[in-house]
Amino acid sequence: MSPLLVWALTSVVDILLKYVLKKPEMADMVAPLLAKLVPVLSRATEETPEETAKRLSDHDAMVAKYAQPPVAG
Amino acid sequence: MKRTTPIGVLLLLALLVSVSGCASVAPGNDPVVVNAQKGLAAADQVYDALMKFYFANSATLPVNVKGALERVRTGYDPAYKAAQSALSLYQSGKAKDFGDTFANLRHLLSDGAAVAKAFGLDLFGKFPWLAGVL
Repeated sequence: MSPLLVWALTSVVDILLKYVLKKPEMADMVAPLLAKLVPVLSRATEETPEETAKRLSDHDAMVAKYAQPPVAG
Repeated sequence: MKRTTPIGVLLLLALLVSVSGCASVAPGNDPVVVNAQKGLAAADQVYDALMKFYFANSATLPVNVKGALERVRTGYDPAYKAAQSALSLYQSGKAKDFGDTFANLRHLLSDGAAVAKAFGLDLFGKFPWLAGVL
């Protein structure tokens, strides 16, 4: 999903949430809309190359912390 | 001004929490790849928790437990890299599956988690979703 679409959908969800907080009696109408939008936004996607590079970099940094065995105290 | 009891809002929030908690895989994305990538990220969390436990308690742990955790410490990075390589091959279409690489990584962490649990580190309590992974 493109970042622009995610931004647009997130904005719609934000507006709907603010609206329903002001007018709780409209929750019955807004809930079905949010129930359709939120799963779309929360769907998992494959990592981008940048995200993979960051995960591998974080992994290497974390493993490096334990490169030597603990010193028995 | 009449104030409406925001029961609808509470129900709505409950719905949002329940719906957003069960993220599925977006169309066009390979669930195998998505789950493998999430699995590798989760594996790092588990390894980090295990090593924190090991390093904090190494002075008092029995020799056999230290041996088991030492095997995790030295074996984790090669196992992770093997799984990552298998994943990269799969993504490039050069392999149909990951071979045993992910199973090896899972077994390594699972063994470490089992040993640590006997000495007070409840990884399954810390990461409840592990019960379905390890």
